[in-house]
Amino acid sequence: MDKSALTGRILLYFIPINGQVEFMNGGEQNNDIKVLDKQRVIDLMDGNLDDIVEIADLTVESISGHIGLLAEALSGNNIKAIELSSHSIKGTAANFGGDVLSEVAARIENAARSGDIGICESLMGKLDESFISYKKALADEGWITITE
Amino acid sequence: MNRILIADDDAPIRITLKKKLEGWGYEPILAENGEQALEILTAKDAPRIAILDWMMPKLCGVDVCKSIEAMNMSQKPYLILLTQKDSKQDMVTGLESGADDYICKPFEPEELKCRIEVGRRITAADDKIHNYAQNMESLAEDRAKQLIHCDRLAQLGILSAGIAHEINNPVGVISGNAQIMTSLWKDVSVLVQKGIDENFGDTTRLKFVQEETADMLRGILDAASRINLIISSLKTFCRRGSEETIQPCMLNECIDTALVLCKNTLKYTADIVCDFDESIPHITGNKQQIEQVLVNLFNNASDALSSIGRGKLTITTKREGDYVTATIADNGPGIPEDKLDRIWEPFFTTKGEDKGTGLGLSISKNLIESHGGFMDVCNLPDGGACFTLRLPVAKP
Repeated sequence: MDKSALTGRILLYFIPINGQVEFMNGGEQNNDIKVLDKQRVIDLMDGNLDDIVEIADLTVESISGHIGLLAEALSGNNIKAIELSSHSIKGTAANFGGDVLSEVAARIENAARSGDIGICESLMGKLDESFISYKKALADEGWITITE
Repeated sequence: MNRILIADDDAPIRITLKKKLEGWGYEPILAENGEQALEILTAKDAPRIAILDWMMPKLCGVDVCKSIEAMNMSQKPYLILLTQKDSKQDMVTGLESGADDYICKPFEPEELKCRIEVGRRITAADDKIHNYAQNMESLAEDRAKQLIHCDRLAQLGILSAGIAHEINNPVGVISGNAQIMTSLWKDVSVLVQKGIDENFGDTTRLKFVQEETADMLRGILDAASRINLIISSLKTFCRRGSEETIQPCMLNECIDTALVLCKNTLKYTADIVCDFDESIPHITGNKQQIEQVLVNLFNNASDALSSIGRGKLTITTKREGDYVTATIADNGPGIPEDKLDRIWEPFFTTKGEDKGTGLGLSISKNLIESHGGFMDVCNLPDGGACFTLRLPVAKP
């Protein structure tokens, strides 16, 4: 995956039913970015299902915690904390194939770095949606169990 | 197993890295923030490689790198920054902070593995250089001590030559007067005998004087003669280096002189057995230098024998073809087999620091070789060491 396609751009995105997401940028279209890059996860963990399940659980738990911290930071207008939490979500998601989620978090991080809390707030809904899609994709692979 | 520190506040990444490193045969050590990482990296037996996240609580990865860099450690760990920050400027900042490598997340396992391997190679080379430097420092320290010791010995030599010179005059007076008294005693002795015969005065006392005086005078002359011999040997020995005279000399005589010089040492440690071939021909060389070699060998033998209390020192001379050979064998503990090849090295010694400079045998071998000869050593089957000198027979 070309990382330059993921960073430093203002992107529009939508999550289609098939789990692929399209990013539009000045007429460019990138179909490579996935809700879950399944092959990366399998390669990362050498196909070891026990390890995949263990790290998937940890990843979801960690992202969930960071989203909570991000929401708190937003309500407190704490720009540094917004940047830190979104940075953590970006890294944790990217590590485990959550490309779309990572990308949304990156946009929040960039906005926080620019001091634009408004954009950060506007992206929170997208972040939640991306996280739900990511968890669903993980659950579809049988790597996590979603409990309501 | 190579230990590697993983410092990342994000548990999934930390555990993922842990599993990868274990799979590659490393022993991961985990830290959840920069402070923990710095503590681990500055502790005794710290891991030599660290993978550091940039953004961590308490202390960020870059600050960890800066702290380590500022410490100017002799064995600095190899620091890999593993971070989401992927701009060129971030990379420059990271490397300038003291990081040795920079990898962007999400990492590719094979790339990370290779970069860790680079770190392992570099730290292994660094450790090797560090150990070498430590050995060299230790060696330099030993050499400095030995040189100071050598300097003291040299000063002692100069002092000995001075003392020998100063003693020479009073001994000459003692010796000369004793000779005159011996001569006078012959006349006095007649008068004393006459007094005894004629019952003059205390005859018992006169008898004692008559019986003992000659012996006493002979004793004084013998002792003076012996002092002269020692002084002469000492002066000859101390003159080495300033007198480069090459002349025909007898190896047996050189051994005798060296034994006189070492007599005081050897009398407590060795029973000396000399088996000289009196028919061996002359050799050509610097007598003082050959005596110096022999003194060194006798002193070594004395040290070896003192370790067992007392032992036997056998000195043999004979002719072997175009060479005259001297063997100096003791029945001491011998030389450890693994050190036999090294005993000729300068500064190598099997004695304690306070006893040996490690220069004696090295200088001895050089001196014998400068005479066209050879010097060998072996351990004897029944114990002890045997040194052999071979010097070429003087050409007619």
